[in-house]
Amino acid sequence: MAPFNVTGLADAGSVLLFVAIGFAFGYILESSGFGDSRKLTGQFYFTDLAVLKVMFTAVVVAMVGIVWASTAGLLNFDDLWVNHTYVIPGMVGGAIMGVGFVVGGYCPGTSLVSMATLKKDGAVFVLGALLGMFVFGESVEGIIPFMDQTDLGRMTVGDALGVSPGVVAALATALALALFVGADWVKRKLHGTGPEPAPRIGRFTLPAVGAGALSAVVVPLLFISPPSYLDKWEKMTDKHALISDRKVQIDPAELLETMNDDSLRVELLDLRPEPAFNRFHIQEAQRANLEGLAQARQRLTTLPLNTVVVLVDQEEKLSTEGFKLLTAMGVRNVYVLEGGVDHWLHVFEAKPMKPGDGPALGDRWEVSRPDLHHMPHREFEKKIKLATKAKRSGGCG
Amino acid sequence: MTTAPAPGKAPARYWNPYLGGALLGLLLFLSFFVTGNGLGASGALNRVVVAAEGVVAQEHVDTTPYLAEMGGADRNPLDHWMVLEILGILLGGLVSGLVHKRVRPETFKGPRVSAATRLAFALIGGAVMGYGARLARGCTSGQGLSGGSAMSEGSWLFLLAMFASAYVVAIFARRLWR
Repeated sequence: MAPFNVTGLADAGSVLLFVAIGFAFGYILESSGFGDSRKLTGQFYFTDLAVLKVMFTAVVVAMVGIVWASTAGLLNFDDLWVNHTYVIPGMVGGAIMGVGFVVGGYCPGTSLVSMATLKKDGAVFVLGALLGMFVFGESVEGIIPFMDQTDLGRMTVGDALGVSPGVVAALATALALALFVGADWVKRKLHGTGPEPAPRIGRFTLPAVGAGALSAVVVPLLFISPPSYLDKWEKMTDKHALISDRKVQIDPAELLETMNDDSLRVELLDLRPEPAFNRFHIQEAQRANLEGLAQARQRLTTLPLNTVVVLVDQEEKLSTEGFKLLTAMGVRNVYVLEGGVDHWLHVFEAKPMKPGDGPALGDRWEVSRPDLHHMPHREFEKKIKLATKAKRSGGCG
Repeated sequence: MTTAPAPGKAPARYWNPYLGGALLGLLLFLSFFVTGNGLGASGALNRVVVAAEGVVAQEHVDTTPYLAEMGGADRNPLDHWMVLEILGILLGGLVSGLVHKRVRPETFKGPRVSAATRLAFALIGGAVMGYGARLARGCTSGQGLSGGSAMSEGSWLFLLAMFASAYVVAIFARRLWR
């Protein structure tokens, strides 16, 4: 969602906004001929390639827009809904849909447009689709293991291939252009007919101008690296007050209470160097560093919903940096231990532990997990508010 | 078309596909930019199904986890942005149809099949498509367009599977369309 500090735009004027987006979608589909099943299926016989061209042009244009906007810092890609990858159910479902597409002549969106222009086959297709969904809804309980297999989560092509989004956009553009040229070639071979007539802009045809413009926009993306998480944090101005107003720095007593709360999971990440960690750490703390956290987005954004992530430093310097990083990465429920390990020791043992103080016992110190029930009462401001609403949306939910 | 259109009522030509594609791409981008989501259709149709089931048998919806997630107890399955979007799609399709003089009752079919056969296949194909779209967690719009442009790996595998399957099936379904 963008710009970074504008949220709630989709909530406020949302009804009109979504109807308007749908309206434009329906208008473009109908104007491009997607309300006609003969035109839609024509692509499979190489008689009419318009649908293939519209679809892949749209995918590439939108992709290039998304990559540009997130590279320029106008859009936070991590906030966008990226359909989760389920390899086997996705591909089996796709193959089944391919059958439905050819036999029925439409896909769900296009059948709505066809129905809206009073085409009987479109309306009957919609009815059939509703029926198929009904059958699925009634039988899904039996195939849940199948549905949930090969779940790779939010996996982009770039993640999978180990390349930047700019490279993916360039590859997709090249693929689309090759597809268009190739499909037109097959069409000419099979039917002896050329591509659909195109308007001219000066000496060039519209497709040529479009391909040139797209290439000119895509090529620079190959050489620009996407913004770092800390660049993103700088743009998330609505979150900066969380640190300055001390909304996320939790008291040691609140951390201890949370560790003892069976309904919550605490992911305690200790950012101090190894010697300090070995000398003393809070029980169940895992050693981590900022570079490692930046690589662990997939795991940290898919932690169980009742997880509270608490960052620990000797004081607060690294943990505050860690908070910025994780927040920019889109990790939920991140907090910082107020005053770090020093404050924890001060509260529970009344003496700071300096290097050289006692043996390196890690979490075998008693103060590593003080007994909550034998503690003097301590007043503190409760700050942890669990945001449990998972982001689960997308055009298909 | 089964009947020749009356003079002066001839439907307009369809847009050049690259123009339509570029506009659709811009719309898709704007949708991501403003709402964080792409475009979709099948999810909303599914919600219509759940709403209809709720009218007939709310108890059944409440006790089936998959359905209850959308329409259980006090949840209204139609209270979702995608439902608003398909209302817009219907309206936008209708207006474009009116502007381009394409709104009239007719059945699109291949030259070698009867209208009744075509409608029977549309029903069967629709059902297969509806089932598949739920299995794939999205349709051509939600998985293909939106997931494809958001660079989801699964969406690209989905597109590959769908088009590969369609091109193969088309060989055997030639009678329907050619």
